[in-house]
Amino acid sequence: MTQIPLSPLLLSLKIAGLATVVTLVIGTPIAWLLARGRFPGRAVLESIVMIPLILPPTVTGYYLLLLVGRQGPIGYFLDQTLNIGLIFTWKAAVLASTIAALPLFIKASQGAFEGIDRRIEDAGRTFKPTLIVLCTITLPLAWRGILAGSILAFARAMGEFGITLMIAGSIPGRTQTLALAIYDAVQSNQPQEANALSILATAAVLLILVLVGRMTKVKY
Amino acid sequence: MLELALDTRLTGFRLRTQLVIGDEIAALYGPSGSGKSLTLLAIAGLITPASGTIRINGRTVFDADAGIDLAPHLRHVGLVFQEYALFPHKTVSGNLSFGLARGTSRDDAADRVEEMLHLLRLEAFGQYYPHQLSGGQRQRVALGRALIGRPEILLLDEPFSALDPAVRETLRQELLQMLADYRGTVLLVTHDLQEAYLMASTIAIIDGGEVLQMGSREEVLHEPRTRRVAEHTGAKNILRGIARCGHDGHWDIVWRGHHLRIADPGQMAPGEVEYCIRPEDIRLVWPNRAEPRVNLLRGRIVHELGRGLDYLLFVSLIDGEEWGKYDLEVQVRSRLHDLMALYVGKEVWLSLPPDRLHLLSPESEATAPHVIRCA
Repeated sequence: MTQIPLSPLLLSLKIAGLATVVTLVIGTPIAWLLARGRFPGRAVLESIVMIPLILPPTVTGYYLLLLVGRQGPIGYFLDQTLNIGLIFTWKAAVLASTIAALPLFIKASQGAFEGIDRRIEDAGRTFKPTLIVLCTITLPLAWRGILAGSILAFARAMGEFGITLMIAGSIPGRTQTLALAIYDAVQSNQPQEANALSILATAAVLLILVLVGRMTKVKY
Repeated sequence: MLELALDTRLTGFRLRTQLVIGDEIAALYGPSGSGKSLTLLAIAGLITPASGTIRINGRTVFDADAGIDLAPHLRHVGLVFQEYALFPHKTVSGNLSFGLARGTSRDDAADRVEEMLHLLRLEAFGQYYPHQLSGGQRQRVALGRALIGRPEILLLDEPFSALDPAVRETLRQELLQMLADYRGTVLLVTHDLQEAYLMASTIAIIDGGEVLQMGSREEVLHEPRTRRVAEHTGAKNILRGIARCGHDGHWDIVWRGHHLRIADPGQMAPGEVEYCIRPEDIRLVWPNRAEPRVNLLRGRIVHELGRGLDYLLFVSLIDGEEWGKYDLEVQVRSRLHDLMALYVGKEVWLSLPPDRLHLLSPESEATAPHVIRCA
């Protein structure tokens, strides 16, 4: 019996958790804009957001590599000006998971925003400024959809493989997440380790789903 | 006091409304899709018209030319939505306190909410959620939420359409009682003429995005200016005849060979005219008392509709029209219907009272006739 390697799981949880937070922060305004906004380029924005869902992850990963790699425009800027090395670090893994999770999150929360009766928001606007209506009426009414989107985002981030491999690599202890570790274990003919890691991944995800299910009971 | 002049195009629909309403209850009456609700939304600032001005108590809240477009919450307007649009995640108290201005102290807010709950007779329901309330209670919460901030104008968008007809009648009276203490302009939108008449002192008839006529409720009901107004207010009998100066110095209208006397025609010119009479204004006359009546016509009932309390009779004039067509629609109370033993095919005498025959102006101002004195 080999020792159960916990570090890939912890790394996965950390990366997926961070990616979910970033997705929530970036994705919520975009979802709201897509649901409520009437502006030129809305359809274009919607298509761009959906690209990672349709492209093969390796292709998305390759484009990201071109962008944030040391020679890429963003990567060069980060490296030279801010002295941040992104590529092949856990930060790149967070970026990869975020890009993968965003379309799922946006779809779910966009639906939640669209499901709110516009007149309820309008009623709010006759009393309070739009920003306050957004925080006290719109977001509380959409939170279940946003939460569902976050769960999807987290699940997608936990399972992220292709994009992560392209821009973060599979460095044990640094960027080797659970999914990558399982692949590595199978490749290097270590079925026991692959089994243990797979069971861990399944248990972790199930536990999270149960916890979230308990949290989302609503009274109205 | 609300002054409004709007001209805007919204998704293929043109809204051109002009209204001046004092501190009273006014109704905006028209069919669905006539632009009533859009007008309310524009007043509340929830849509932005392309051009025009809106003034509330002399304060300009919207002026397209001057670039003034006050945010909804700065206009001091209370709006009650058709389906009430209560906040489903807030309690009754939470819904009410949302209507208070920002900066209201916590104690003051609690007092005002308590006071409003009392006024709405919902003291026991402060902690309830909207989905736990009946339709009438929801309406009261929506009204309280709109009134708690003491708005200068109260807008009601079809406040009764979401309710059962059975409770509508009592709730209309309740609403009137609650509004009795309100000093400000109330603008009620409805597609029910009876409701408009019951609730409001002034009625504006709106259709196709423009106000066709505005005046006191009696004026709108009994003196429709044009054919379109007559159609909207249920003056079903719209007749076309030839106006001529009678030999005794009064105006007559020749219609289907009959000389009809018309009282006080106001503006009149010889030639073709349109006039109307409401179905309930046409009198059925007992045959033995027919002689002294003016504007007496003989007809035959070709169709009738029993409506419980009254009957609608469709009467064809006796002097030669084919069956099935009718010339006049007459409304009689069921009791009279039974007393006179009316039935389809029976001959009846009708009298059109001269003061109930109302002359209609041509639709467009350009062709309005100039006044010509008779005799």
